[in-house]
Amino acid sequence: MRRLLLCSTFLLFAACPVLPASSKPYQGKTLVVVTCHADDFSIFAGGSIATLIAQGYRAYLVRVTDDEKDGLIDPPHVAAINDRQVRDVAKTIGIQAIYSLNFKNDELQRVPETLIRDRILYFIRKLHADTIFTFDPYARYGEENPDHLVTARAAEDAARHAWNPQYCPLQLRHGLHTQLVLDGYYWARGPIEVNKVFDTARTENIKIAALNQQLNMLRAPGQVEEVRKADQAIGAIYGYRTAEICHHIWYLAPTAGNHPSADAVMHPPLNKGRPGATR
Amino acid sequence: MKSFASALLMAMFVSCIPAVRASEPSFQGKVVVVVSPHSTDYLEGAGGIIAKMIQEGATVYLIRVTNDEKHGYAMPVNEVRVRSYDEAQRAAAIMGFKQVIDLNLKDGEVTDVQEPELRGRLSAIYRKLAPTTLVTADPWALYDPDLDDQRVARAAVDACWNASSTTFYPELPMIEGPTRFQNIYDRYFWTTNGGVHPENQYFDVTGTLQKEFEALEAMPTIVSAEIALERVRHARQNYRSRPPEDATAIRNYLEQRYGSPAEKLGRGNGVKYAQRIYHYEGGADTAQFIRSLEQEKNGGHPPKARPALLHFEKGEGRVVLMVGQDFPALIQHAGGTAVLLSQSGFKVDAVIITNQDKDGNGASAAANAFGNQADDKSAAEILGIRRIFNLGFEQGRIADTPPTVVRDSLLWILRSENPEMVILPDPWIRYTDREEVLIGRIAADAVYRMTSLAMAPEQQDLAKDAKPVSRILYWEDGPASSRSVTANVAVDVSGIELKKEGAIARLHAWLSLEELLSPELSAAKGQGSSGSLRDSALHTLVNQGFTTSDKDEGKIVGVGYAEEFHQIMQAQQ
Repeated sequence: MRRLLLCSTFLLFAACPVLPASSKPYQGKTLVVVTCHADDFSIFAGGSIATLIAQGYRAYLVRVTDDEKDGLIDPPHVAAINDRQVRDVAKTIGIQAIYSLNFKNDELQRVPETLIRDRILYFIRKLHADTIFTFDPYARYGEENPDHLVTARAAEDAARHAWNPQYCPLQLRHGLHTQLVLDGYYWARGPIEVNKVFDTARTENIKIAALNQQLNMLRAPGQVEEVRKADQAIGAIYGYRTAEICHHIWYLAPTAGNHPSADAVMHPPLNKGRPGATR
Repeated sequence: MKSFASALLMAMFVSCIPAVRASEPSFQGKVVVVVSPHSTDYLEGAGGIIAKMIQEGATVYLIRVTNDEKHGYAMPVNEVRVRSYDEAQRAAAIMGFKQVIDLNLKDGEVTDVQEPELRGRLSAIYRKLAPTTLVTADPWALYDPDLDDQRVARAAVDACWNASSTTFYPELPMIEGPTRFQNIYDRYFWTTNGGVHPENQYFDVTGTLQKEFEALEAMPTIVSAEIALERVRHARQNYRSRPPEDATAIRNYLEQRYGSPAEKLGRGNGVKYAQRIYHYEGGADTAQFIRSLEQEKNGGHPPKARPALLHFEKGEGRVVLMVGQDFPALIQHAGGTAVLLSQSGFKVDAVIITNQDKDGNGASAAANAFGNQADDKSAAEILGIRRIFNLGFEQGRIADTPPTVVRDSLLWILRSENPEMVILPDPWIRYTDREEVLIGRIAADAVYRMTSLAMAPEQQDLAKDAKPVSRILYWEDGPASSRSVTANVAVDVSGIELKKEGAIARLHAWLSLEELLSPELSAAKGQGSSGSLRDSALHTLVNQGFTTSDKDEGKIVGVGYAEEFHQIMQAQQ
């Protein structure tokens, strides 16, 4: 589906920190984090997500797989342990709730891509997502896990089309409304176009505390410390004590400037059903 | 143009290329697995290098993934299969492989095989052989149109990691007996079919290039078919370089096609023959990722290069085929070019892959699809597009449609229309629409295979007379940063903006959807206006969406408005 406004004025920002003018610039906005595996979002973007929450976002987590293969014992028990641990992790980071799609871990390529997309699209509409945070669907060499790319493609496709009533019309007949997703943040572990750097100095401790609650997946000795050092190394590149990087994308070109608060383009009828008190 | 384009594309890889390795690694004692989508790919991509690995004492295995049945040009497929099987064994013996493992997948149809199935099979082999090194096609190469290559290469890479963990395919060790679970970190990627990728490792192949030629000569079925196909292409379309007249002169052909580039590269490196390849340390290494960030930060985004302005000669009735997932995309990215081509005397046709049932806010999906078809026809008249072929695949579901189904439908049209030029979305650009990426990949594969007689045999009568496409124009979508490194030509469409706008104004069904997002357009409708207010709102919308982009592109090439493309010339100029 081609949108008129979509491509021409995508704004590529030079790598710059997210430093909004007010302390809660995203008050009332909703962030939906789409993670393939239970430890992806915490490792690659835990500090960024905590930062966005501190800046006003209300965040939810959509888990795509059951994580049954990331542990040392049998798959059923591994899945159950990871399920318990990710709840603690999400709570520590400040995520409101977790929704699990329960697809089979590391076998996402067997699943029709549009099925994954449509399930994510449901939660985008249900939770009234303004912004998503997920893997970069265009990461290249170094992004070795095909599940990550499948999830990212499905999430991006869902974000691009949640506003269109022709996508998943049955969801709309059962009480949901279309939802315009303005922008997305993409984390990665392979080379991407970096255009956003989160200064995570204030949230790194939250991230590390969260990762320490996820030791079934981060079981290798010193793994949490490695993540901390990696964040410091990334910070050093961009002039921060500690940082995380991502690609920030606008799905809809803001007509009222290029700041994230481009609510001017959000057409009210599309977002009816949104909790009024927080808007 | 080619070197200019290559330089630009190489710039795209800046952030992921380790420093070029001056010295050659040693392969003594290494266990190497070569995963080749087709029997000649590994030779064409890295034959001299693999021969050198063997010469140095590596134990090298060949996994031959497909049965090559469609690589025989006019020969019956079953005969090709038999011959190719035998010849691949002979070539492997010349090279010195320890063993050839045949997966026997259907040539040209690997893209329909589920990736987990393929990587499961490769994982089983990796566990048995415990290789230290992988050599295969580059799964991330740009502009390699062969869908088989991408699927096989991706599975070969994924299997490296899967093979290392007992949680993947736990039944395999029980079936296969003793196995070793280890990742393969040392990886070498080649690219073929005109693909572009980073190349950071040079090898002196002076002592082994002849081995590559001998192995290729041992596969006369495929190589002769290549020559025959090139001869047909040359005769019909002045395609690339002229192949040897003598059908038996395989060696001449090999010298011309592979020897000359190796000699040229060798000359630049002080040796007689050299080949290059991309060496990549796998395993999602954090340090490597951080190094890539440092490189990107220091190098920044490559500067916006200036694409060459493209001028079209007189069309004289030759056909141009535009392929898009929906008509608005086609207008946005190449509408002005369509007008120019039509005015220059080309016959411009369009293929719309989807049914466009989601491009509207009508009473039903069917109403949208129906409305869009009528609107498209009306808009096409303004642009000078002669005919529209609607393939009718469900919009938004292309990701789950077997690629070969879409491709074979496109083949019907390509073979019957024989376009000289094809215009399609660039699937290698980043941060763009998923469906455009999918359609671009499938369409590129169709263009690549349209002269292959064994592909879609029910179309053989058409395929016999099919002419290869001379010029491919991939239109550039996505953010400017991605376009900047892939676009190598631009078409001056100054003065055609109003035609574009006029064509858009005809897309009533689609605009009914846009009204949901355009307060101005919605307000105009609410006031029952079909006149100036609506025109004004529409102008604003089009200006924001279409012409701003064209204007930005125009600035780069020094004209008012421009449309950008990545051009691939397949015919000699």
